Amino acid sequence: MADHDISFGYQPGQEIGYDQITGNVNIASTTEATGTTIITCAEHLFDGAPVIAEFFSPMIITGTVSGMEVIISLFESSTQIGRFGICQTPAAAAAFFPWYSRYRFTPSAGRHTYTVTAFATNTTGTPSVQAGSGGTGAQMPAFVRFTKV
Amino acid sequence: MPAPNSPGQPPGTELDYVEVGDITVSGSSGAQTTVIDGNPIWFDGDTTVLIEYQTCNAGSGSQALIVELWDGGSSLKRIAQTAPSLSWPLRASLRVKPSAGLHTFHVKAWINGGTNATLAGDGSGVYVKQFYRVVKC
Repeated sequence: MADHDISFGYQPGQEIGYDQITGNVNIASTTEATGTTIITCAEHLFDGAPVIAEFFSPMIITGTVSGMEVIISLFESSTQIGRFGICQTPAAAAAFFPWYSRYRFTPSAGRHTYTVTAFATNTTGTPSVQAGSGGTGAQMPAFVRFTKV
Repeated sequence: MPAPNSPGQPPGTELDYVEVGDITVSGSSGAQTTVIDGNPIWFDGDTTVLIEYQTCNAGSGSQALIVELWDGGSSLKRIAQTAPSLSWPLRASLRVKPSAGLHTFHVKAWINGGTNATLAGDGSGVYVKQFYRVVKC
């Protein structure tokens, strides 16, 4: 964990924490409160001022039922901070979306451990969050990152 | 308190941030729907900024949905366009160096006919609000 002395504060844009995955995660949950874990963050230290949380995946694959939705959220333990966003397939076929969302909020000063989760309104077709290690023909990692406003 | 864009502020400094709830987009290219009105920012003419816009769900109607960034009464660029009948998170940004003086940015959107589109930002529920943000490069 990249940690900092909280007494120094953070500069605008400074990275507070970064966590990534390098493998695909199938979204098996259809329940928001117990969504499939996509990324479990390390514990990061916040100074009580606003931050930007950002989540990226090179590709979200929806299921194959027309109108089904994939919803990705930020949680702290069982508390939902908010939905990063939602995507939906308009037809009875999987749709592919690159995903990059940001959320500006103010964690209390101290250490926090966040989790990115996802659920699908229908899991037919195996919706997933794609991630890889990069390199030739390979997806880049999916990540969540916290920076100081 | 320093002016919104004071010399010496480091890169990454936030110069403006505005968030709003759901917006129904029904405007046309000639009469666009205002999504977000920014606050006036003073520029010295030598500062480059990144202006970003995000919604957790851009739901287009039966025709294309177009999002533009405006500076006062002038459109700077189309920053995003989605195909009909799609629903997904949208983030777009534009790097610009405004001229010296006060500038007020706006995010506007329009549809190419058809049914209305929605730019979601449901802060009263669990979705994160849509927002516009300006930071120094």
